[in-house]
Amino acid sequence: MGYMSVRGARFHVVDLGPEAGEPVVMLHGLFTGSAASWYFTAAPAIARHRPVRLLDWRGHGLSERTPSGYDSAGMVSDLAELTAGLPPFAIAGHSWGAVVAIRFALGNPGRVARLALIDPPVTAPVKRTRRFFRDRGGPRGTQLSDLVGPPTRGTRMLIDHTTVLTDLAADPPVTEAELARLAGTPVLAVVGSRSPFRGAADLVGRALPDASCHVLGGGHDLHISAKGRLTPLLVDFLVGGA
Amino acid sequence: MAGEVLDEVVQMLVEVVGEDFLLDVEVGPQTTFNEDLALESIEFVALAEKLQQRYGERIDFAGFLAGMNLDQIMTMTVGDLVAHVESRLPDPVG
Repeated sequence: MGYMSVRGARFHVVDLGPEAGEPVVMLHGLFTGSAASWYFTAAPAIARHRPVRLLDWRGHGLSERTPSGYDSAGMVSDLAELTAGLPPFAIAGHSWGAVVAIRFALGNPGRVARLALIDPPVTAPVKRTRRFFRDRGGPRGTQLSDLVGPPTRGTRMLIDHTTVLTDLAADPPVTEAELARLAGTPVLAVVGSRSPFRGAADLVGRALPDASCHVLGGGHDLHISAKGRLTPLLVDFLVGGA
Repeated sequence: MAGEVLDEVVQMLVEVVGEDFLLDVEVGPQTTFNEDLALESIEFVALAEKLQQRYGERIDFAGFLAGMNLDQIMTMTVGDLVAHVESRLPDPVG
């Protein structure tokens, strides 16, 4: 089992696949996400061809829950430390993982070879998150069937005992100008037809005319609800049809 | 070898979820990870890492999962996992 202690926290990291080839770092979304989000969905198919690194963000999965540090700038720094030993790599990021991926790529020129953004929350205010959890009742156990679902014990602890919601609310939204600065990096954007962030595909398309943009039937958690269609898209983009 | 892998998997489950959580459950080949053990998804990842550590790359748990849909993963039994591990181990000599 892999753990890395960086920036004041112990992080859980999972490496899959071969040792050779351009690595793919897969980033999960906040709250209900963890390394399991990708482990049980697209990661195994990609790991047939490429080294894959999965991680649990701080406060998620088996990583340490710290009182603060959930803003995109802090998480970009976490990611930099957790990937420091890798050659230039591709990133697939879901939800907030995609936001961190965008800002990591902008802040670390030459480190990111290609960028897959899965339902990136760049068009709707993140403060919806608070309502999302309030409307879904109290804590319960996180079973395998709850790869996505209502708040879990861990999620509730994260919300009640850390600055995660205020960090998110205070984080400046990703702008079209920011996205445009990714020109030169191959970008895949996939959004859900019923997701509140469906408009992200249009925004990415405007900012990056060369980006490959797709709308799949499904909601925000496409890696799960649209696993059968998203996985081949990711394999094609990240592996180049290998 | 029969039963050895099962015993090891049960021991790993204890390490992952803690003995207290397994006190009421007699873990056998028919036990399901999701329904019977209420295993958290990230705990399943931790179990897979332990298997990999113990048996090495030949287990290829990710490859095992790549051929499954989510329903199959959610209904997986301890016996399914043990069978996969055993299928990847070298045949006993003699």
